[in-house]
Amino acid sequence: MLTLIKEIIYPPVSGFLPESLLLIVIMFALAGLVFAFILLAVLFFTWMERKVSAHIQSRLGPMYTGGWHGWMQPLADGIKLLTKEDIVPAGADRALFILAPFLVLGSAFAVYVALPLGGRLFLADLNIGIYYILAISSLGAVGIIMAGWASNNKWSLLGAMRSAAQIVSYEVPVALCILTVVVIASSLSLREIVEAQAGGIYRWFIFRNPFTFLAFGIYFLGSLAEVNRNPFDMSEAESELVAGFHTEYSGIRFSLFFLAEYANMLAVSLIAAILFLGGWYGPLVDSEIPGALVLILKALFLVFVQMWLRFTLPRLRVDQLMHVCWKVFVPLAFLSLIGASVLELV
Amino acid sequence: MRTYLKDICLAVITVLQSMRVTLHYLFRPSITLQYPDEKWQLPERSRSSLAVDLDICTACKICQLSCPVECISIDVERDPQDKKKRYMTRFDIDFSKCMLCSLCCDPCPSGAIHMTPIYERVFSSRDEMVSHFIKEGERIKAAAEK
Repeated sequence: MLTLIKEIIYPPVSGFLPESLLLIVIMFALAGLVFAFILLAVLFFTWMERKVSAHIQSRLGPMYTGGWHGWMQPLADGIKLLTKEDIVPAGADRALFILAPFLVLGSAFAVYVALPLGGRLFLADLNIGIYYILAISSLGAVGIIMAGWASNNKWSLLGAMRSAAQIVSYEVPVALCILTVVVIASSLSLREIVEAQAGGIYRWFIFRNPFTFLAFGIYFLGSLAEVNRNPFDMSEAESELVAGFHTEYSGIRFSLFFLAEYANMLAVSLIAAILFLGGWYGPLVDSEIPGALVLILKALFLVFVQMWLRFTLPRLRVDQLMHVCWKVFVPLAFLSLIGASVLELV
Repeated sequence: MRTYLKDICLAVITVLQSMRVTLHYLFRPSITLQYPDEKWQLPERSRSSLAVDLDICTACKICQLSCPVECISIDVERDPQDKKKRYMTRFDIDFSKCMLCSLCCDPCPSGAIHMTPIYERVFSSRDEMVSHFIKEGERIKAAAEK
């Protein structure tokens, strides 16, 4: 981020303010930009999810708000959520209750700092980018436990415990799958991982060898579990736990959880596209399409698959969830890591 | 080990199969109609609401007799001079009682009482639910029987 500020943004605006203050202003402006990007994406995804779910169930979904196919429905929903009464339950741990949604959103937000959208379009090219993302995205689990504990509600606590167990468990196969890619690209920097996939569709890591294909499958399903989406949405499980960890949340605080969930969906899809699907490189060697658009289209497709899966599969039981993680995903992820490493050596 | 691998293969295959089914549904036209703008075509013999065509009603009162819930009430007066001339002074149907069974329509000799396709009816009081086909104080001449 510092290079971007120094080389592109800083020169034309220098001299208006003291240097230290200017840097802070620019940083806030960039953070606002990222937040606006997330917000727009989330607004679009809520609309898209309602439409996809409706059409899978032979319904129409929102049709009136804003005219064309209810495109303003998410805005109307957002305004509704913002104008609702802010309720903190009497028995709740007030400080933790208020802090929890910000922590969950903060961890989702911080992931985007290290996500490059193109060869030259990035905020921070960390040399340990994917490592940073793995670390910071786990912070969300802490926020979820805080929310469940602070609510002083049995559904919330149960949901939070399940969610934490799930996120911590699925971190293992997901990290192993990411490691498979890191071994082949021999770098932890997201930009260098994408550069290693340049030159046509067969260079993408997903098609490099059968083991990376397996790793992609496990990463995608594991990431579903990490962002608490169906069929792994044990933490919400409407039919058992009312709404899980956000049972007691309403209005703006609920919308923060909601925002974080959809931001995480996009984040894991972007990471999957960067790691396995060639990032900002299109399927053809020399195409004229802008890299950022290619990457966002790939991520959009993966988000669509997430929604598609959500309305296809029923929810797993808790023991099935752990069975799938520890007895299926972890051994297969190890297999893919070792297999891919051996194939790279020979 | 064999069942383990077989289960994994089966899980992947069945998930893909179910995804194919839902994808098929995704691109099918939806069944929902935008209700106030679009409406279902009602079936020909649908029973939604009763109406009476008083111009052809012969005031024979068969409908009143055949109604199992007694929701139809008809009052008939005879002309004192000409006994063959009959007038209806009341033709009420109480829709709070009516169960739309159509047992009044079938025996009607002239087809005056019939079912209409109006199904959007809202009432705010019980009195409103009684339809007065003849206004208070009005007299309508009954049609001659064929």
